[in-house]
Amino acid sequence: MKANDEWPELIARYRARHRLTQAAFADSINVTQQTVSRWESGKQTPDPVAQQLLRSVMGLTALSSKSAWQQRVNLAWGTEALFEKGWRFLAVSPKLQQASGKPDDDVIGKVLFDLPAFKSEAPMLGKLPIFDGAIRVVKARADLYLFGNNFSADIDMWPVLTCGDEIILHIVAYHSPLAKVESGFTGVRLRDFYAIMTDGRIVSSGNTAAAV
Amino acid sequence: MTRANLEAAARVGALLAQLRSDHVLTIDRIAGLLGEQPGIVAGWEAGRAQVPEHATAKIEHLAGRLNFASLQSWKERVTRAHGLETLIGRDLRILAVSAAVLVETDAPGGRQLTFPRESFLGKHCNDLLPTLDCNLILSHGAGFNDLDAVGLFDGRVRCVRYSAELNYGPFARIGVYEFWPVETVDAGIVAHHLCHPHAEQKPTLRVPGVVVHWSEIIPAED
Repeated sequence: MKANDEWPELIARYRARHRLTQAAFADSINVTQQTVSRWESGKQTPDPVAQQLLRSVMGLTALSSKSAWQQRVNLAWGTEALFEKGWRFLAVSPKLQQASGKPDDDVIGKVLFDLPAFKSEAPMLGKLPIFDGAIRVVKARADLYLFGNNFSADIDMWPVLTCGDEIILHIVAYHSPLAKVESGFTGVRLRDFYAIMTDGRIVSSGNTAAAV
Repeated sequence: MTRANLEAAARVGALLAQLRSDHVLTIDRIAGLLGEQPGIVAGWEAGRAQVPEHATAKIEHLAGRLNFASLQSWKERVTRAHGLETLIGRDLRILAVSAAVLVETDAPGGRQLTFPRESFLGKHCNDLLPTLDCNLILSHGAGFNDLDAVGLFDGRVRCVRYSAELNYGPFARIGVYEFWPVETVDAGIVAHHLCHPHAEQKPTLRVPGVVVHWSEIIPAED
């Protein structure tokens, strides 16, 4: 895990979640309050032994950090993207970069709905409580006309919980070459959309507004 | 207990019961995850004992994590996935399979083959290969046994990937196969296995077998 730049946030979140003061947290792991303060402010990085202890205490492992998920999407063979709260791009897979014609640096940190092709979907997607932990999965079929390519794709949107208790969104698209988009359409259009909530309810495009 | 304490205890008890039901967990396992004694947790679930504030926070936190990262939630993810996906345990047995794996639309003569989910669940991965006599991941000709040997289930590997043609006799599948280790809260690391089929490539094998085009093991970052 590239945790060195994540430790301040991880420690602060853990303390807030367990309602621990810096002194109480420090006491629980046998360091001084000043040490925790330096870790949390980013002035000092926990040494490897302390990192191991923190991982053990805080339940962290390398596989469920935000950076590990970014690495997964960056390496993925398929068409995938990763977003954080506010629909900001965290990562796009090489195949998606190729399909969109945009290099990685062009979109990372950008908000999805600021891209002209996705503006029309902001009213529907943007208000879904995906990053609040209320949704298990969103499924949709999308018609896409991007940079001269038109195709349909089945899309799965999976909220993922990181070890820092942050929900990020892992999107996987499966091209449907047989379902061609009609000519003349440009942009992105979601259809056959439904969400499965964590409480088991199913919300479809027909009743999104009422249910969420 | 005061009325407020009784209500709080009942709420925590109901939450514990729901966690056990939703994620198929025993009291012992929940207690282990909470770092508490099973008898104490059983008392909380039954509403017999007041739950300390710090324990309530731990239970709520565990509930949030289980909802997205329990073995059961990963099984659900794979079962509901659109793609060709399976979930595989450390013992290399299939834990979950997506609907797309159960249907083969590209059999000779335009036939569609369907397979019952039971023909996958609980089976060892190697039993689903046409042959073990191939250099699937390393060069041992040992099927998927190499996955454990290379460290997929202990966090040393970020991804194992290979490109192969698998001829099962009634049908063949050509594609890139990926194994991503994923961490579950209650069952440690399991493997999320995906296939990206190359529908445009023509099969070369005429009999059941495996041809591996390439394979790679991507180590985990420190």
